[in-house]
This record gives sequence, structure tokens and C-alpha cells, in this order.
Amino acid sequence: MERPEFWGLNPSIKNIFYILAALSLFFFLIGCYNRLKTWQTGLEGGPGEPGSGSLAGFAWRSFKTLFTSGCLSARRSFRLSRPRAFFLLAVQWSFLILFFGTIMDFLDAHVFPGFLSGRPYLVFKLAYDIAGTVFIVCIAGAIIRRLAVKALPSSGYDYFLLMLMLLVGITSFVMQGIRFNLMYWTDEPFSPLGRLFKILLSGVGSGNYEALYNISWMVHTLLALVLIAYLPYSRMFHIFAAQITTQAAKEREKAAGIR
Amino acid sequence: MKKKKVALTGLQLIELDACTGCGQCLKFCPVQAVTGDASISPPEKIRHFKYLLQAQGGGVLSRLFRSRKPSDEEMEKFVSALFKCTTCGVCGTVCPVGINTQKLWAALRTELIRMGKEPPGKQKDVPDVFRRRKTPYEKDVAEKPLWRPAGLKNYPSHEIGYFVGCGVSFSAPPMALGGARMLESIYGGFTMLEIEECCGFPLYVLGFEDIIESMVRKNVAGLVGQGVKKLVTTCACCMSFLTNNWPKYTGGKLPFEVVHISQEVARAVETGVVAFKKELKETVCYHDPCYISRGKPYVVEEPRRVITSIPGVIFKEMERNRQYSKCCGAGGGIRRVQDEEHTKISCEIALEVIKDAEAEGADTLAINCPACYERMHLALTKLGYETKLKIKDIMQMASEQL
Repeated sequence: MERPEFWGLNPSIKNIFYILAALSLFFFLIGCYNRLKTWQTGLEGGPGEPGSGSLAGFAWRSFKTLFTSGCLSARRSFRLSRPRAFFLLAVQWSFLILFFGTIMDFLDAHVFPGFLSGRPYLVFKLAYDIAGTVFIVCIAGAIIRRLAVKALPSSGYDYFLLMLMLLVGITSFVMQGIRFNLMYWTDEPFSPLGRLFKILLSGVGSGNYEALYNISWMVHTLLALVLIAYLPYSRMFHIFAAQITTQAAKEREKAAGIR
Repeated sequence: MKKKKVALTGLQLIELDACTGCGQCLKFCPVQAVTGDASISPPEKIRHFKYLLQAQGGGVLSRLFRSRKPSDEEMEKFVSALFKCTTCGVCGTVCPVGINTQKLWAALRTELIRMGKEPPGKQKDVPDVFRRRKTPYEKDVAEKPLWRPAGLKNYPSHEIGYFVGCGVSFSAPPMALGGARMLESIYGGFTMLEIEECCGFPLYVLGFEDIIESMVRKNVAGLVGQGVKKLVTTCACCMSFLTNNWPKYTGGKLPFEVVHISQEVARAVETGVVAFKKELKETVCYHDPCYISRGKPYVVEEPRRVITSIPGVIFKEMERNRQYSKCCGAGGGIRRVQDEEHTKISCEIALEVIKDAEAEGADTLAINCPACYERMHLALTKLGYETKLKIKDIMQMASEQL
């Protein structure tokens, strides 16, 4: 069994995908560049603060802190509220798994064809499915929390972003549910939520699953590409910025002698 | 075209992008707690300021995605919220992504003032008061030494300098005297400036940075001229500003060491230079001032060591302490608005701390900042709250037990 990235798709859809992906990446990079340029308009900070230096320096600092233990374990959040910290960890790790999974998809489809196959693929499939399920639950929880907690100021942009992420997650499982309805796949037992969607979607569209699969693939892909393009213009850019501030806080507290 | 520099540092601009709006800080914000106003909340302030920055510029794509320009009404609400903040910084302490809000709020205010916005009420008159009086109070700098009792010697030159501060001199004279008595008992004497201009903290926190430098330079020159090697201050806000901000006005390093009086007294007690002879059979709680408990300078253990070294004292910790301590309601220039609404808000915040100390069964609430001292006393009279709790400065307490 191999990873079916572009399985069953009309070739013209694949070509449109490449054009849209390039556009999405273009918007993403321009957005990131503008953010970095805005950071550069700041005054020089104190010693050790990123406030001067090159754009590359900012980018490198951000990237490096992504891999610190404090960041990966959401250490600061555990100081005050365990439920919140576990929630944050769940969002962070499910997102990371999905992100790296997407990169592996890309490598499998374009760089090392067929490397996602056999048992490693099935393990990957299960991890991907669990991460996707956790991600959907967390994002739905975040939307409900924003609606329920009146003291938490929320704008239309916040709901747009959350809904976009939720839809990306849900449409990926819709796509899988339709694929599982087409025929039996050996990776089906490794996708519990995909199987649930298979049951939910059985009989939908008078059984024209091939056309439905093409449509669901396009919808999912389009939403994911919009999310990528929108990321640097949205609150979600905190996934880069927060790494720097967390590291800066750690250094600041250490210098002040705060345990 | 090169973008105009803003009043924020690079890190502060990153902090604006780092806020996830998670709301962890909401239940800690003292102003939001007493007003119930969501617009005061830290994520909301950050969001509005970002809208403002985005509305000012950026490329074609940024313009495509950015939010609309805030309306006059929204802008007015934002300015009001930002200047209502006590800048206690507890939101930053509990922030999962470590945003240093205590400094961020001051920087946002500076930027708003640059944009031509005005702080509410008498806050906007503060620079004018400074130019005329050299203090944030409507009292002249020459009146500052009025707290000094006859017989208190001010050496013309001494290695130990005492920076009393405007708040201590004008609104908490027992603090000034307590500090002086303790310094006398440790060093035998000290020197003070006859014309001690304000340290600049109230201007900084309100966003008026322009006139600070000349005052700092005058103070530093005066202290150096009087031979000061170690400068002791009893005010928490002065301590923070002298440590963190004065060096940038004097070429990166101060020509003397800056310490808080509780650090000096704790050291003197531990080395046996000072001993408390009188017993004090009381339960005491200590309130950490925001500006020496959230970051550098972090003076939280020394005041506790001073209190617990007084014979007979039973020391009790309040539920929120050290970097998580509650705000007294006096900070961030909220006192300077001087209207009924802001005074009530700050007094209600102060009352929360008083109630916490009462809940611990305290006889005395030890204070270590003139703003806290003034506001807590005012809260009792203004809100008509009756209590047996005594509110005393830590040095006032200590000097009485010598």
C-alpha cells in the first residue's frame, strides 16, 4: 500500500493545483516578508533583544527557538493552568504532525516517489489520522470557547481563521470517507475517523463517489492553500513570533533571577 | 520608501504578532476585574494597536488583507482603555508566550502620543506640570525635603546616596523617614540632593519620554558631584526606572550602583550590622510592588527577610504573591487623571489587596512603594471601608523596631 496523494484525480485538476499552490506560496512569502520588514521598523532593544540586525537574523532566531524544549513542551503554560497547557500542547503537536505529514506527502509525491509505503506508511497514516482528529476537536473547542466566554474579545477575523482551519481538517476526512466508499483500501483500518466518515457518507450523491472524490479533493486543497496564503496576514503568524517572545522571556527572567 | 521608525522596539513589534488572544491574562487584569470592561483586556489593546499600525501603511498585499482604519469612536475607546491600564504587568507574567506587557503598554502610549492622541483628564497636563515643578505633583521640587525632621543630617558628600523620590516625599513621608532612619543605622549617614528632580518614571509610563533626559542628567551629575558610589532608593518605581532606564540616558552605564533599601537592610540584618531590639507581636502580610516583582529588578525575597527578622512577627503570604502579586491600583498614571471614575477604579483595585490581607488574618499589611501606600490609605477613606488592618511601609515598621 502506497500513499495516494493524487490518486484518481483528473490530470487537469492536478495542473490547476500546481498553479494555485505557487500562488499560495507567493502570498505566504510576501506576507512573511512584510511582517519581518515591520519588525525591522522597531527601535533597537536592550542587549540580547532582537530589534536590530538583519532579516535573516530574525528568521534564524525564530526558527531555532521552534526546537527548544520550552517551546515543544509549552513549559510556560504549565505554570498556571494544566488544562490550558494540555490543550495548547494538543493543538501544537497535532498541527506539527499534520505539517510534517504534509511535507512528507510532498516528498513522497515529488522527490522520493513511493517512500511512503508498506508498514511505515500505515504507521504514518494512523499518526496522521489521530493528529487530524485531535486538531479538529481542539479547533472546534476553541470556536465554542470564543462564543461562550464573553470576556474574551473576538473579531470576525478570529472566527474566519478558526473556521478555515476547522474546514481544512473536516474536508480531509470527508475526502477519505469518500475514498473508502469507492473500494476497500488496506490503510482503512488505520484511519478510525476516516472510517466513521465512510459510514456517514455512504450512499451520498447516489454513489457517484469518483466525482465526489474529485470535488472534495479540490475543496480541501483550495481551503488548505487559502490557509497557507492567509497565515502571515492573520493571528496565526504567532506560530513564528511566539517562539521569539518565549525565548526572550526566558532570557529576561533568567537575568532577573526569577525561578 | 523606508518605513518610519515607531516608538516600539523590534521585540515589541514581534510581541504584537505573538499574542494569540488566548485569554490567559483576562482573569488577572485588575482593571478588567473591577470594571468588567473587555476593551481594557491585554489582547484587545494589542489587537486595536495592530489595526492602527496596519492601517498606516504596508505594501499592496498588506493593504488587501489588512483591517479597516479604526473609527473615531473605536479610537477614543482604545485610547481610554490604554490609559486606564495600571501597567502592573501581571498579564505579561502569566502570558504563555512571554509578552513583556509592562514595557509594551508604555511604548504603545508613547506611539499614540506621537500620533497626536491625548491621554484623558489631567494625565495630559503631566508634562506641563513637570516643566514647571520638576515633579509629577502640583508641588515644587524645592518642597520635596519638607518631610525631613530637624536633626536629620544631610551630608554634603558621602558614598551612600539616598534617592527619596517624589511619591515618597509628597504622599508617603513615613516611608522617607523610615528609609532615612534605616540608612543612618547602617551607614551612620548619607547624602541627598537638595534639588532632587523626578526620576522620570511618571513621564515614561504615560508615554511622554521627551523631557526625561535632562532631568536624569541633572540628577546623575548632582549625585556624582556629592561623591555617591551607591544610590539607595525606597521607591519601587524609582528603583525600576533607575535600573532599567537611566543607563540609556547616560551612555549605557551609571557611575554608581543602584539598590533598593530593602536589599540594604536585609544584608545589614544578615551581617549583624543592624538588629531589631523591639518585639512586634503581629501577623504581617507583604504586598509586592509591581515594578520590583515582575522582572528586573526582582526584589522579592529581601523584603520578606526584613519582615521575618523582626522578633515576634508571624509572616503570612497572601494567595497572590511575588511575580503574581495583585496590583494596588495606583500605577500607570491612573492616579494622574484625577477624576471620579479613575479614582474609584484604582481604589477598588487597592481594596482587593486589603481584603486579601484580611483573609490571611493580618494585623499589618506591609507596603514597599509610595503609590501603593498612598492608594491603599485613600481606598479606605474613599470607599468608607472599615478595617482593623494597619497599612505600613516596611521601612517605617523596621525603623520602629530598632
